[in-house]
Amino acid sequence: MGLLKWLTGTTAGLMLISCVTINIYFPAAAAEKAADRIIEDVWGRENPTQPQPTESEDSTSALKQNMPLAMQVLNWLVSPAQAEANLNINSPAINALQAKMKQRHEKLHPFYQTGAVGLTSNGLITLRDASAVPLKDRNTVNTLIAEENQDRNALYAEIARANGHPEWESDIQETFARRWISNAAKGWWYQQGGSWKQK
Amino acid sequence: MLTRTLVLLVLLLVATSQLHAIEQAAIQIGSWSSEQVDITDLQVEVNLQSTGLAVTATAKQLQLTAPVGLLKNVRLRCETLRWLSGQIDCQSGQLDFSHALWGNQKIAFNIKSRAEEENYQLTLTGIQLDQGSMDFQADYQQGQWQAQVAGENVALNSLVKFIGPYVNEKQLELLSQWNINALMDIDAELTGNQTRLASAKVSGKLRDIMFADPSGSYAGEALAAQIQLALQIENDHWSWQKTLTIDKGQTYFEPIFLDLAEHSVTLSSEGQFNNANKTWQINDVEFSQSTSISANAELNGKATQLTHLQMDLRSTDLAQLYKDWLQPFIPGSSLSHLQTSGELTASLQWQPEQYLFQMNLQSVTIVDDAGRFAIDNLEGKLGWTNQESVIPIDLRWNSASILSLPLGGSTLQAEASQNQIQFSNLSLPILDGALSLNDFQLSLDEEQGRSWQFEGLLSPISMDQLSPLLGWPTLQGKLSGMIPKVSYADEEITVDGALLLKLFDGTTVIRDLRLQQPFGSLPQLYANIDINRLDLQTLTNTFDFGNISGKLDGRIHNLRLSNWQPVQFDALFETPEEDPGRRRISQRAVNNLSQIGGGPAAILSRGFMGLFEDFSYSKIGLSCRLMNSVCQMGGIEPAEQGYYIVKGGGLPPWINVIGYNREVDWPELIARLKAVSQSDGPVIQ
Repeated sequence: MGLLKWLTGTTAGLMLISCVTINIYFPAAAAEKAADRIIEDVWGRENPTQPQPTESEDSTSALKQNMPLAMQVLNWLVSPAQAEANLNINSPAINALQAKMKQRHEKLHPFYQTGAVGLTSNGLITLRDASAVPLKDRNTVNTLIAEENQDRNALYAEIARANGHPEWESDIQETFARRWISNAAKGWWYQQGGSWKQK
Repeated sequence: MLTRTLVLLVLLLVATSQLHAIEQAAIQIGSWSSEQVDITDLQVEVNLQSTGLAVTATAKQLQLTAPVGLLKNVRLRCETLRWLSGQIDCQSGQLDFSHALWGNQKIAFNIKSRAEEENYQLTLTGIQLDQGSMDFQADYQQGQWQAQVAGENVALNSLVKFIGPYVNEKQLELLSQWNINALMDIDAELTGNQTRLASAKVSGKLRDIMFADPSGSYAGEALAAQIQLALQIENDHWSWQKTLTIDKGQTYFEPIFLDLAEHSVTLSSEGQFNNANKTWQINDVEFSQSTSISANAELNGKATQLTHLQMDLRSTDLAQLYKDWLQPFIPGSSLSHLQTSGELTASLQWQPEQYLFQMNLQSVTIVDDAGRFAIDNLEGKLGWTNQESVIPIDLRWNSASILSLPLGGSTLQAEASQNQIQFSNLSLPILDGALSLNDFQLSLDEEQGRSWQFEGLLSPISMDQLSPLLGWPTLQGKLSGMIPKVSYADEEITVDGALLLKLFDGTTVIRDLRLQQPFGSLPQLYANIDINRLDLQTLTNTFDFGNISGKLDGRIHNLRLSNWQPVQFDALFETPEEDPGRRRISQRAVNNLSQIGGGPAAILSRGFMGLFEDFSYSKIGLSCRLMNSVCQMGGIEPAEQGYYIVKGGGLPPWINVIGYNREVDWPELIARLKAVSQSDGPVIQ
């Protein structure tokens, strides 16, 4: 009976671990760190990174507490892979994009402040309130937005490619989407669940 | 309604005065009520004069049916009232009242009524609309009428307020959403028959016009305009002439922004509308923006549908045309930051699902701000259509450039038809060679987007001219190629076949070349490169690396350049098994090789080995697998704790060079290579 219990426990544990392993495959924590580093550089010090417990860390720690001992041991065996997984964001292409975005941010900054431009939930930006932009600047803003989004898309794709996992692009974009919003300055607008919110 | 009320009052007063044939009479009527009117404190005063009767009626309140409502402190005066059989005149009349919406009004009026002849005349002057005023004059004769309205300094807001009760709510709501306002001086002359309008002539000066729709797609600020409109209606046939000039302020019609103070705009048109079958035609549409752009168009339509459009456009200032009318439509594209100059004429014919566009260019120069492409002095004609008719394309230019590659002048003859452009041959001079494009075909598909393809032949280009342009060290040799197919689709250029590079007495073959988003944020280039029998002597002399003799094979596979920088590849260079040639390596080359491998510089200049100037070797080789800015290094075979880069052999003295660093930071490696090519080399004592 005890053997059976142990067996079912282990099987469930293994199944769970296999789920965990899939989650680990994309280095979520490293991606967040990488995103924060880029965002901090692009937006400057004005928007200090707010050390918030991230979702993945939350779920991992919650998972650990409720885990049977055997699983914790197994997880420990798996976790070195997670610790080693890293995201390199130091390539000439990424640096070039980052520099372009940083330069553009000086021009975009006033429009974030007035709420004319907002952060979308998919890691891009959009024109939120056209009437907050003087007529003569509207096309400038449209161009800034289009170019910023191109660079952002290129950045997400390049980070994935540079790390040998082009298939991570959407995960990286998702991570960035969360971090842009999290790092946004007070008063800036962002999209959440289809509606606009203000930091 | 107001007019009818006035007449009613006058009739009432006249009746009263006739009953009392005395020179002066004052009558206190008190209150008067009927279905349509309710008067309180009515008082009538009549004076008999030689010219007629002078009548003054006052009432504290006059309640009329909706939408007029309640008038207060009403005072009506006729200096001269005449009442003859069926003829009523009230000259120099004055009507004062106050109204919740219309404020305090003091309106001067004249009324002339000839019931028998069906002739009525009414003049109202000094109608107050907040800060503005309006005069009204109407003349009715046996069903025919004409009216004149003159307004001065009338604010659109005030007008809307005054006529608000007569406009339906939806229109009012739309007006308030659009936040429209303007100040107007307006003159209108209307004629009609019974309830139908026959003609209208309106001329107006509008200033401080502003509008903004809720979404911010359309807006105007501080605009000033002059408008002239003439309208004739005959049965079901309407025709009009209109001229509109806007010369102040700014406007935005997504995505077009115009600064009208800088460049005024004039729009004139003539049009016809047939109310029976709802067809319309607007001919002679003339549009001009300062002197830089003028357009002439003819439009036909039915109800709200455009059925035919013919437009001719002329611009003597392509820079302005581009800035105002083209650039806004393509933000963030590869064509969105251009410097343009020149002149053009263009014509467009459009019908539902059919269009034909033709353009003539004169002295057109286009330069991309980012320096990715340019064309100088482009002339000739081009066009595009989705129809079967064939539009000839005939272009010539003095010079051009693409991605830092200069292209010489050339001519192009092509044909456009059915959403395609085709030509059989174009020769593009590149430095001392040329790229020949054969059987070129470009198509535009609504679903698949733009795509093109051609067969290419690259006649030899000297590398000593090409290499500095690519940011490489100067190389000797030739680049040429037979390319069975170059195609572009989904923002990717694919080169089938191979490019052949004759370098250092060997051959380098570039295959599987792909270029993604060549003008995008981050151009990606992929290729596989194979290198055969390079002569190391020539190579090392070129780079001032020291001296190595012998042959070298190599490959750079899975190469990816991102933004024209190598970020990934699998490279291996080694002495070929067959025909390796005479193999010697100089002391300086050994030093440089070891330096690249991370070893100390000038290691051989001291001690015993320093006595020899060169050494023989059996094999030389180095591999680098670049990924993530790290180069995984390797050599020809493993050595203890490392790998052989040079393995000695043949006649002594020979030498082994062993690398120990397996992982080298790529930027660091590049820095070392640069340092080596710039160093003077070790001093041999």
